[in-house]
Amino acid sequence: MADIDLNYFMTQANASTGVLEGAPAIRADDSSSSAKNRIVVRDLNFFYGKSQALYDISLDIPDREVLALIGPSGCGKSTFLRTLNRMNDIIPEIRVTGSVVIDGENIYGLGTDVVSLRKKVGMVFQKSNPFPKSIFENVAYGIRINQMASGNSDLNDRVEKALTNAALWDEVKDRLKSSAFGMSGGQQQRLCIARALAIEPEVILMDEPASALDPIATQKIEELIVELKRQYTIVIVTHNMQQAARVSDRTSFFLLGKLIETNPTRKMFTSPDQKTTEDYITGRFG
Amino acid sequence: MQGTESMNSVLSVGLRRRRNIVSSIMTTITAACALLAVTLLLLILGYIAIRGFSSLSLQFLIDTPKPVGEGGGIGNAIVGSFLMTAVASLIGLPTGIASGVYLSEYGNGWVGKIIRFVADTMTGVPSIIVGIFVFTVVVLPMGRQSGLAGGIALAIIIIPIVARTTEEMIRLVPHSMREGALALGAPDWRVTWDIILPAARAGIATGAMLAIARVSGETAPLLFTALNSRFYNVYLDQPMSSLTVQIFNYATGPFEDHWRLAWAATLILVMLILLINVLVRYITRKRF
Repeated sequence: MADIDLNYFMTQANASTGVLEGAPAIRADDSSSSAKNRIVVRDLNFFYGKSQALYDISLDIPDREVLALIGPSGCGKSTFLRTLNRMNDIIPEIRVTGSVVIDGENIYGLGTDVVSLRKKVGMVFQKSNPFPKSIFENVAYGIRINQMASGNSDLNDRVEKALTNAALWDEVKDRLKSSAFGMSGGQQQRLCIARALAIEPEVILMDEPASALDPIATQKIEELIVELKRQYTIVIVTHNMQQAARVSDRTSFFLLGKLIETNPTRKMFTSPDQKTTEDYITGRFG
Repeated sequence: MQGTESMNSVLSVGLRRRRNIVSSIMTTITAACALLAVTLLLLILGYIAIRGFSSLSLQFLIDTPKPVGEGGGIGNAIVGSFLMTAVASLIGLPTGIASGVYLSEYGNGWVGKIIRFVADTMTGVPSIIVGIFVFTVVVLPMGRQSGLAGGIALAIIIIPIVARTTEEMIRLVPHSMREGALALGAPDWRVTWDIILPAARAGIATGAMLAIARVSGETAPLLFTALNSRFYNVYLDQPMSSLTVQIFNYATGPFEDHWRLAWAATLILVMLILLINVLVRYITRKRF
């Protein structure tokens, strides 16, 4: 498994960068040009009131790629993530310039329907946030509000499929009617992933999805991300650089609201283009 | 090094001692105050129970008031209290809860500030003023006192209490829950209706029940509005009896016989309010 190799790399990278030489060819990073770009961001600036949080971000995210966003706290990576489904809209006095084009449509253009955008771009949050409903109803909620199920049996099928895809079905199939709050933290987070999957999004945004979980639950989430990559485009914010290395194809490094560098994850963690990236990754600051 | 260490420990022993003394004094004072409060409450309840229980009978719960010496009861007063509280709840709870939703969801501007200020002032307005107000705008145009007027007066007391508790309870719902629903593509109103209100349900119910308990003990707003009645009456356009006004009439009269009835009625009233409070506990006990 490439992921394991990479993991090994990660632990070695700090000690010596020479390890890379003679390593097998890295997966072609040019795949992005051949594959269809799911998300195209151009000259994105973002303001909270008068303070600017993002500066001229331009970035392409191809279909079925896991892109990790790393950087120190307050660097704008979460803000950037939340511009992709316009979750920032609920904060008063924000301003956005530039464009985010998803599937050919500028989501900051006039007449964009935020509701249908969010159906297309699902999100998983740092802290699991199940609704005060049963496990079943948590997953069914998005299906219901988007009127996706043709009937009761279709609804049941969709819920089961979402829970199965979130690797949760076997653990909860006997207690679908019980409260979601009775689950463990890791299960709750996978429930939130199932909830996001249930509305069949094309892109899934994850804001530090495993930061509140123990290592075993984290591992399950990471395995899930690798699995989900086959069907979805995933953008994940993480503070954990090993995690970025394990799950992502490419990594973007943010610093003080600027996008410093985007490169294939292996290259990023072994021989980044920018000195600041290397300094951050090797722990010289941040 | 050793010198400073021992100095420190000497100081800290003295300091700790002083703190322990202050701590035990404060604990004693607060415990005494708590005990006093509870004792007063128990004394009142105990006195009501002793005085009221002796005149309590099934007949007393069913009968209407009768002339002195012929017994009489509070059956019509219980019905009247129930009806007027129901009218007040029917008007006051939806209005209050809806106002609370507005305040928490959209009330950050100057409109919200004004409403919030008015609601806070309203909860502090003496209830007799509400009675006078309803007398002017409902009783005078109608030409007579009525159960409806009483119910409206009680509703006016309920609305601000329920509005503010609803607002507070909705604000307690974690922001992440709202974001989760919005991220699924739910429009604002559905987030409020499907997620926020159910999450705040227990708290809102508590606020509603406490408001009902509060108005079921009100006398002043009913004096001018519902007046009183000696008969069983379920017609809201007629004057209506209530437990509180009946107690007031019995207790302020010159007859010892009536005083006993007042005690018994008081016991019933207290037990009804206790029942509402127990219901509140029951509702809030089970959380999803």
